Amino acid sequence: MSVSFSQLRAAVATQIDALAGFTESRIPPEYFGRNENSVAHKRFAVALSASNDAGDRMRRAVGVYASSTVRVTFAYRLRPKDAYPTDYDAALDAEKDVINAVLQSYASIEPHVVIRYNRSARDVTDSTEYMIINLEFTALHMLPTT
Amino acid sequence: MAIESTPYATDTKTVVLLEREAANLTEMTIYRDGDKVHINSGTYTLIKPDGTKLVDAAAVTVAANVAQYTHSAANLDSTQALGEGYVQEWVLNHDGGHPDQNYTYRRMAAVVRRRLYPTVYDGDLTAIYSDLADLRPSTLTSYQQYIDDAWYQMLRRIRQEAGGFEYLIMSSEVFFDAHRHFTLYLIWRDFHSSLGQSNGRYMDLAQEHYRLYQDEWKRINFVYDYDHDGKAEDANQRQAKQPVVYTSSPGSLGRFRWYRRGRY
Repeated sequence: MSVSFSQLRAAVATQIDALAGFTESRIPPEYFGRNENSVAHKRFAVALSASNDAGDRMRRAVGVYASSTVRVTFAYRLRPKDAYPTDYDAALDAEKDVINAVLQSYASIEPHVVIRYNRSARDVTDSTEYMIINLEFTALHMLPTT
Repeated sequence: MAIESTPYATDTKTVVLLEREAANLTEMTIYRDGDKVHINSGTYTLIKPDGTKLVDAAAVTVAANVAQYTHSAANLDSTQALGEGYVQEWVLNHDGGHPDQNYTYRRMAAVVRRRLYPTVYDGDLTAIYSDLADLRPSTLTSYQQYIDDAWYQMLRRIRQEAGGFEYLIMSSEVFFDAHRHFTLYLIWRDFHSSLGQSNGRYMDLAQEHYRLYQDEWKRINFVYDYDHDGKAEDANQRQAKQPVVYTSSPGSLGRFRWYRRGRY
């Protein structure tokens, strides 16, 4: 069964959205930093930054077996009096929760999606108000061609 | 025996208010090195403005290292003069000095009809900053300590700057905006102090609320009980907190000067 790019992005977002306190950004992932401070805590965005042919035979009736890079970005608030290590560690725990959520089964949302975790990158904003965590996954899915 | 001179601190934030015709619990806590000093025993004396003693060396009770004395309603009956000039004298024997040494702590008190209470609470802060509850330090369950500190600073400022007495102000709501802005100033400034940078959103907010506090403070006017009879003199004539002071003399064509020239 084939899964389009938008279906894949939405499926990943649905998994994260189910986590307590997480809400999806209203601003595209490329401009994630424009989220307002007052709502930025646990805001996330899901981007499909790149997609490639996964090397299988292409059949129009079946679709293209594709490998897409899924980037998840989310913000975690660092309280000024607890920025480090309390909230820093809490942000790392939240990162683990997001990874677990993304790696969950997609059977109930979009079958035939297989996802693996690649890497994380973390940064603290200059104002020390937020930790921004970028996660990268690779999703294998059948892209529809009809 | 020589008197030991360690500067112990008392918890005196402002003049102690005792409500007349009511039982009043009054307390004294002594601090040193960031902690309460253990109090062994002590006496409490309340000296009236005329120098006589309303309470004379009564034994205090000590609860959790806080010296306490309770005035009965009969003790503060309606014959007691209202207003300033009362002096509390706490003679305490506490840890830190020679076992036989008593320390005498004095502070001013006033006998009043009613206290003035603040009108700001945590909900008023989060009402305008929805994320403030989430920013609260893990060591705190509310922003009460900032609210209280702002309130005590305002009470002292009323006395020092405006020359009035807070317990004669009938309309507590007039302090709401100034109190809220000042509390937010203290909170944002404290947050900023934790981040180790020279500027930023918290500092901007602190400065903004300090300006707003100063603006609100200048504008405050209230209903005042001049003669301390428990009633407003004229509820329709509000009293400005801050008097208007003219720092220049009338102009050369002012009415008074023209009148004098006309006569002579």
